[in-house]
Amino acid sequence: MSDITIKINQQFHQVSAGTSITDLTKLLSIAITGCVFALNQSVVPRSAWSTTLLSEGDQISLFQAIAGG
Amino acid sequence: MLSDAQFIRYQRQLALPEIGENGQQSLLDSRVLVIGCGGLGSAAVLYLASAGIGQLVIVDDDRVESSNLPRQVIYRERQIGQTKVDAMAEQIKAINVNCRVRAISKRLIGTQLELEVLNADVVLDCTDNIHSRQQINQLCRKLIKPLISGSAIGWKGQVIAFDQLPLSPCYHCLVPDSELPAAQRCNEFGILGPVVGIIGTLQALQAIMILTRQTMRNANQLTLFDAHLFQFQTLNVVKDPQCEVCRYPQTDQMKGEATCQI
Repeated sequence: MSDITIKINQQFHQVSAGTSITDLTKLLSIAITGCVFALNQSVVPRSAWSTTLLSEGDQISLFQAIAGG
Repeated sequence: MLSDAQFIRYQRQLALPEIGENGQQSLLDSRVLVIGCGGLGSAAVLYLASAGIGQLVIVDDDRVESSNLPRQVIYRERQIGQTKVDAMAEQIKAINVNCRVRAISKRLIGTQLELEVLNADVVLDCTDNIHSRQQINQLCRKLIKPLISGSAIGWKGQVIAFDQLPLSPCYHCLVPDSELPAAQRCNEFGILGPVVGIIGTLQALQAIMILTRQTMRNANQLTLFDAHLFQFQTLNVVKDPQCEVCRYPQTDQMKGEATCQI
């Protein structure tokens, strides 16, 4: 399968075409708890991670929800 | 109708056309619930009391400690050992004697929390844990109360105002977790006063804008602040169709709306 280039927190990454956000969490070994993904400036609800497929040039913001106050 | 003294006192803010005398009157007539009197609550309450909010209900079960003072800027050295809500109430009165304060020195749960949310015009979530955040969100969603949720840790802050419209997301759509990874508490992770102060101040700003009935252009948008990069980023938050907190009411309300339109 061909590779696509995406940006995660301003860093370029190459992933296979058809990679979902769920796949990405596995590729990057990310703990899901408290994790928030935004695709092109819009937060993707966790229930949609497995069906949200990445495309060439997508910009991803990946960060932890924080609860401190 | 504003008194002469009120007109003089609040002149600079009612000179803003978006606020005006009506907006100031709304602030004077409003009741804001602030849950959590730490770094976020300290900053927010300073501005809310100064702006002339009629009543503040403040909730926290802690006492003032010396390690709070670098960021919880409403407290004074002589108040160390007092309950935070009593110390805060004293400071609010010193800022604005006309602001009515109700100080609740315990962790609110269940019906008590529900009653306070019900009686508030706007709720500020200034708590330090995910469990309280989820509980507050659930009640604000159920009772359709605008919720302004702020948080800060390390060099980062997050703030979002939920307008609670039927198609709008709730906090649980954004963070569907009942636990967050450890090292989320200020005593373990560290925090700098101005970082949490910026977020608390933004919460106060959003509350004032909601209470003066301005269009919530930033409703349901998550603002991230990175103090290291000195950058703000704004992201849209959408409703999670599977959300266990807001999916059912949404369906009911949408049905209701559809019926009305027909």
